[in-house]
This record gives sequence, structure tokens and C-alpha cells, in this order.
Amino acid sequence: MIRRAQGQERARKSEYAAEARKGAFTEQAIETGSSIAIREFESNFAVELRAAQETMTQVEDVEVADAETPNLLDWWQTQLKELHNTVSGAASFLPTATREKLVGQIVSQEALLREQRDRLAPKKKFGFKNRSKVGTSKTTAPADAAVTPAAPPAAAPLPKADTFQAPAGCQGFRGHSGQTLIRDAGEGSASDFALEQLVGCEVRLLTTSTALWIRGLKQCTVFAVPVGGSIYVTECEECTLYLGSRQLRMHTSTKVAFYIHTSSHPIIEHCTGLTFAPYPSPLPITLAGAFADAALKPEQNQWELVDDFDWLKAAQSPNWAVLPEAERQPPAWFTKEGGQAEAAGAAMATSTPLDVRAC
Amino acid sequence: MGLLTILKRQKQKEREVRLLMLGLDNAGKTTVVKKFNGEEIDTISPTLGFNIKTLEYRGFKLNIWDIGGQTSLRSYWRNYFEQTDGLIWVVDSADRARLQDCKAELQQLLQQERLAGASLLVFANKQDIVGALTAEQIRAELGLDELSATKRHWRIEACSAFTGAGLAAGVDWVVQDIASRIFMHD
Repeated sequence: MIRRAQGQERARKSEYAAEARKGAFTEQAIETGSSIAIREFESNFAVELRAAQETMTQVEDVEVADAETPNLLDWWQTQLKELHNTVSGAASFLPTATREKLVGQIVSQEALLREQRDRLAPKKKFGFKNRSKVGTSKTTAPADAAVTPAAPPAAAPLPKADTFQAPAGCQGFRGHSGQTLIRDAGEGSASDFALEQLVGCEVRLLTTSTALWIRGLKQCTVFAVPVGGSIYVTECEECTLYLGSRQLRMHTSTKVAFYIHTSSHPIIEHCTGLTFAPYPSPLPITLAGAFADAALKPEQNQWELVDDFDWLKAAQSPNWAVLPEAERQPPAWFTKEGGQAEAAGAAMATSTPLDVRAC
Repeated sequence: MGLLTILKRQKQKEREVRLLMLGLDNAGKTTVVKKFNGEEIDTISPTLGFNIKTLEYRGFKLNIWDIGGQTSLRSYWRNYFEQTDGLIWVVDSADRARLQDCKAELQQLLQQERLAGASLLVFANKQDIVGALTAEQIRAELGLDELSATKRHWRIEACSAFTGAGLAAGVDWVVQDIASRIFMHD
């Protein structure tokens, strides 16, 4: 009799499952928030749960395990598993409280199932081989992993974009040490510029650019007039950088003092020991048009709203701090008499023929 | 009548559309949603979980799921794939450093079976920034033309969530495309 009832129910279930499987591909249209749909779902769930409870009653009536008992237990198990699947399939539109309530009901049933299994399981020394197989393979792996959206599978790791690489053919200063590098005002501003692998250099970029790529600088001081696009800073150590742009991203850098102007939040990742201060103001008179050239507004500066993607807590990230006002300093050549004239002089003095295009 | 049929009928009645917004961090997903909804965009901080916005648009009810895009959050995107009618992929057109990253993530998404039927709208965002790539350049960089060989319905739209330009055109397309698929028996 049990077998017949099971057979009927199985047929019904497989019909339902087939429909659900089909639905996964063809029916995009699941209700996402309607209370009617949820009520509908709940009543469906209740029917299935009742079926499982009936099986439970049958199991409880069994006093001594016979040949039929393992099948009955497995059937119960299958019912519970399907309940799990039903709930997880509907997880997207069920309110959390409802979902938890339903999952709770399934979990308590599963506990009862385990109890009954223990009660009806023959003692180990009398255990049949197929019994133990049934017991282990089917009782493990309940479907609750599907319900709690916690553990994502190990998706194929994507290449890490930690090191920003300037586009090929980008102008720039590369591979210098101990020099003063100046890109004077008036040079072509409608392209990107790169600073790469510099050690102990003083850099002045007095022409704006579309984007600035800064990589692998050590003990350098860089002043750049604001740029209209993005600035990427990566793998820098012990530097002082004066930068302005629409958006700034810093990766994998340590002990860098940033004096920045940015109209969106600066983003840092894998950085330590950073300090932040506002971009120097006012700029020397010779650079008065610098903000306008980059289409930026001096008053819209979000330098202190740093987002550290390695630090999701509300508390201040240990990876960066605001530089105390007393310690803030504009670039040394700003304050020297003559400002820009001195800069021009320095360009003469070094007289290293740094043809930007040749670098 | 199966449960899914009931749900589908219900949904048809309400003309409800579920849109999933994804993209790399700092692409401007939240800003796109807020600007489109006419909200303030001055104080947006990185999305650490997700935001859901329900709004009425041209007779449709849009459920917009805006999910955080940081590297650490991307593995959770899959939890939001279910029942997605339209995928809106937001690209920071000024962030040329991470276009390859962006392409790889998008390709991985498009292989997902659960997103197989979803219309794809690519927003080439931040067009207001100097040096931003154009929609044509983004289309080439992301290899979108390869999608034409598949059954995917897709479109790229240049926009600026900052100024609002292009947003309505993109959303119009995605809603119409979904509507013609799902609600055509109306």
C-alpha cells in the first residue's frame, strides 16, 4: 500500500520537477514581490510539507525496521530535499522572514528524520552493506547550501588588475633616477602621460593630460597640474604626490603622501601608510588656468573621502590617514621666490635633454 | 497549472521587469540608478551589498537590483541572477586601465545559464569625463560584436550618469526589448 501511494506521489513530483526544470529556461517571468504569489507559494509548500509529514507518521509507526523501512526513510529524505529545492528556487521573491520560517520547518523535519534513522538503524554489527551505503550517501548533503546564499563556488580567478599598465605608445618619463624631470606648460595636452620606474626624482608636469599613469616610483616628488580624466597610481613607495583629476585610483603602494584634488572619492586598494591632504591652494600665478584646462572646479574637492576597498568597516581604515595641517607643505619650488621662474630655471639647470616623445 | 505558470501570469498582469545592474567597482551603477530616478547623486559611497529600487516607468514596474562591484563582492553576483529579465552592464569609459578586467567579467556573466535569456544593455558611462572612450571604442574593446552571432539581444548606449544624458534612451531600449519578449500576448 505504501508502495502504491509512493508511486503516485513520485509521479506527481516528477511531473512538477519536470515543469520546474522546463521553467528555468523558458519562463523568465517569476513574480518578484507580489503577496499573491507568495501566498500561492506558501500554500503549495504547505501541501508538500504535509506529504512529508504523512511519511513521517508512517515511519513513526514502524516499530522494528523491516525490508521496507529504508525505502520509506529515503522517500522521506527525498521529500525534504524537494522542499528545500522549492524554497531555494523561490528565494528571489520570498521575504526573508517567510523563507526562514519555511526553512526552519524543513530543518526541524530533518532533525526528526535523523532521529528516526538512528532509532530504526540496525546495530552496527548486524548492519547490511547496502543499508549503510543508503544511510551515508543519502543523508549527507542536505540542500540548505542552496538556500543560504553564502559560499560562492570557486569561479575561475580573473587576472588581477593590480598593476595598471599605461597604453602602448603613451608618452612619459621612464627609468630615471635622481633627476628633475619637467614637462613644461604648452606641450600637447590631449593625450595620456606616464611616469614609470623613477627613483629619487622630482617631477613637474605643468601640462595637463587626459589621464596619468604612475607606476613604480620610489622616493619621488611629483607635482602635476590637474588632469581631466583618471589618474592611476600603482606600486609606489615613499613618495609625495600632488595630483588633481576627476577620479583617482591607487593600488599596491606604501608610505605615500597624497595632496590631491578629485571630484569623486579617491579609491585605494592594497595600500598601507598613505596620508592625504588637499591639493595646494592657491596655485602659483603661472598655473592659474590649470583647473579650467582640466574642466575641474577648485571648490569641488573630495580628497578626504577616501574609499579603502580592503577596509569595509565603518571605522577609519588603518591604511590611510589625514595628514595633519601642520605637516602639510606645498612643493618646495612653489614657495621659493619667483615660483614658476625658478621652475623654468631648474629646467635649464638640469639641461638633460628629456625629449618627452623620445622616452 | 504549475506554480511558475501562476507566477508568470501574475507578473504579466503587473508588467513587472527585473533588471540587474552589474559592472566593476566605481563604474557608476548606483549613480545611474539614482540619477535615473531623479535623486541626489552627491553623496554616493561604494555599494557594499546591494540596493533595490522599484520604480514606475512608462507603464512598467522596474525592479532594479544594483549590486556592489568590488572584486571581493563579485563572487556574490551569482546570487542575483535568478529571474533576471535584463542585465545592465555599466562601464566606466574613463577607466581604460581596467577594460580587460571589465571584458573578462562580462564574458563570464554571459556564459551563465541563468542569464541566458536576459537582454543586455551596456552603458558606456562617464562620457562627461575628458579622455573617456566612446561607445564605439568600448564596443570594440569588449568584443560586443561577437554577441551578434548568439541569440543575445544587446545594445550599447553612451551615457553620463553625472549629467543624465543617455540614461533614458538605454532604459527605453531594454524595457521595450524585454516587453516584446515577455508581454507580447498582452
